[in-house]
Amino acid sequence: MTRYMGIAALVAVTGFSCAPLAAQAGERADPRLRNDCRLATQVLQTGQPAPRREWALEVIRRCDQSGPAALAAFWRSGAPENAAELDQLFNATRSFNDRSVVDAVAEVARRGTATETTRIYAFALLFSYAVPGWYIEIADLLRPRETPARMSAVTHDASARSTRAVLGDLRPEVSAILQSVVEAEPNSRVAGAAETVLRWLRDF
Amino acid sequence: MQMPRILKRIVLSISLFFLAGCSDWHPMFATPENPDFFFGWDEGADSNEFWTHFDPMWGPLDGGIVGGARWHGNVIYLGDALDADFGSAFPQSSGTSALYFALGHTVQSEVLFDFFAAKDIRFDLRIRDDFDIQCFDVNGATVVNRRVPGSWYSGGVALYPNGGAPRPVPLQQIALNARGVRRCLLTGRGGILDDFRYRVDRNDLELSCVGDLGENRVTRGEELTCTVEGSAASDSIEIETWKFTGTDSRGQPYVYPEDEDGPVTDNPWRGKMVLSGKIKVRATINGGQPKEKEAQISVVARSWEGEPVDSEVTKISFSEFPADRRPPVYPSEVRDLGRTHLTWETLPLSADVAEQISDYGPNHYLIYFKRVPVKLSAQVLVHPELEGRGTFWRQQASRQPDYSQQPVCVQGQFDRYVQLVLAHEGYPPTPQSHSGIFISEVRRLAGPAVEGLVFPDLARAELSDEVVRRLRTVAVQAFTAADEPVDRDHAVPFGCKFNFEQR
Repeated sequence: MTRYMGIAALVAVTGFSCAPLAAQAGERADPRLRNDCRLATQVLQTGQPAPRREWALEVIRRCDQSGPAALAAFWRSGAPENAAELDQLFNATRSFNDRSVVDAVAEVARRGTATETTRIYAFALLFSYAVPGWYIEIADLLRPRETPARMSAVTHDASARSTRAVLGDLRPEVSAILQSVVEAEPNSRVAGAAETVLRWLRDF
Repeated sequence: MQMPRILKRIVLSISLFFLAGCSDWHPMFATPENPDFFFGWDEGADSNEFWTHFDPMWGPLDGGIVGGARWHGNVIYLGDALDADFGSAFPQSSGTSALYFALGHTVQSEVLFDFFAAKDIRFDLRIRDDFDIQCFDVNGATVVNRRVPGSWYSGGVALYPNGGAPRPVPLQQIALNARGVRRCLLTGRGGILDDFRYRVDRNDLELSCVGDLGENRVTRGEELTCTVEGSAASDSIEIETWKFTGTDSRGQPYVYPEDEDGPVTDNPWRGKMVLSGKIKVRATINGGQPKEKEAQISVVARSWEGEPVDSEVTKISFSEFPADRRPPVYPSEVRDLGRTHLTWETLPLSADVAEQISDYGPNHYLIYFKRVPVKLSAQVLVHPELEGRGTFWRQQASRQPDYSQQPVCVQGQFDRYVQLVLAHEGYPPTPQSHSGIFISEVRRLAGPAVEGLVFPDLARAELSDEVVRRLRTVAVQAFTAADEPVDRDHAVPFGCKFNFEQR
């Protein structure tokens, strides 16, 4: 399975799993989940124990109370640099329609000190917040022209519906962020990825 | 000093004769408006007694332009002067009516035919001494070489009797029959040249370009055949080169062949056409001067109707997503019971998708799309709670309650419900389903979107970017049409109400 398919699968399933997220027994009602969320947050904050990072990124998606803050902090201070972990982070983050998470991702997108790959994932994530229900091919951003341009969408995407309802229309804001990267970014790979996402955004 | 009236009258009458009687012959120095056009010069060193009384009115002419004709020294350029009004350059009172050479001097005149090569030349000549006439074609080969005897003596009678009035030198009509005359050298010792006429081949280049839609029209991707020939079957055509000029999708001029390609001399010239533009041929007929013909070619867009698009619709289950090991959450509304993951992907510009023309025809080097370079996939998922016999199944009634006013969904119909969800999502794709509308919309929009994309091979990267840009717009339109409008216009016809409460 390609990385894209992994993300696509997660996204599709996330649609099923997130729609009734609020209706699930959350952290407050589920002591075991609350405990898992505390441990996951700790792993994401400290990075230790390293083998538990994957587990932490899985768990944090279900942490309706502590998840957004933990993920926002993780994006700002400890966002991974390798694509496999970024895939997980992408999906975990996409589970939340939370302004603090969007702000953290936007900060990484703009920040020149973040790695190329991390920033490109941030662009893709911002796109999915701006155009809920649509998912851009990250491989196409990472390796332009080496991979075919690809885009996907999911029907009956409850997550997409709630994103627009909760966060409002983020297209102008995300476009402005990407435009600033395109104009000022010295790294051509990063600037090129931002421009690609921006082009997609303009079609909506 | 005036030219003798008798001489003038003779020249004039002969000119009129030719004009009136020989429609095939085109006047060089004469036109219907001024039938006694003339053209003359004098070397300014005429000491011959016979001509002296003509000389003062000429004065030296060593170069100039009269009505489009040019001469310099002894060279006369007749190229563009066929309708020139030579007479206007001279005072009416001059009364001149012919081209004079100083009598007694050896004069070599060169007559250049800059227009397309003449077939026959003829002119009037009054000469005292023998005249040599030599004509050459465009390649410098001699096509006429003859000597015209002079008339110093005419029938043994001196034309220039001592002390008497000069008697006119008899007029000779000289006809030179040759094809492809480019220039003639006239060498003699004075005389009068007049009433040059020429006759050209009636044969003209005939260019015909035929495509699948007829003359000058061709469907994009189909072959056009251009043929050039003369009006007579026996005409010999030699093509210098063909040339196509058009404008590619970027708005850049496209020309083939360029200088570095070398000339294309095929006859006919044929090849696949993808760009409208002008086809021009430069060729000679029977060794004459090169001539050009051109045709405007219209390339007509393909319809793309019924053209397939690569697509695949599959049904998948959650177990086929190893990336996510969690069970899906319990459905809370009807739309949670099914889902379709639609994917749009561009295809690489391989030869079967984007063909590069390499037939050395008019559109050699150009790339166009033979197929829509896109691949679609639709993965349909049905919620496991609907497919299985778990909590959701148990929550539904086992049978229709007698008291219920609105039908409720019952356990025994779950297999039918699954089929209804699959049909709604589009497994298999139908015109009312998510995947079906997605595919049909891309099929409807994508072909026309790429139809006019024609780039030269050196701009392949630009082409790739442009096709992605265009198809991206198509993808957005297709996704949008396949999403909420399907739920609104073609809702799943369960005909009953599910119980979504989870106990």
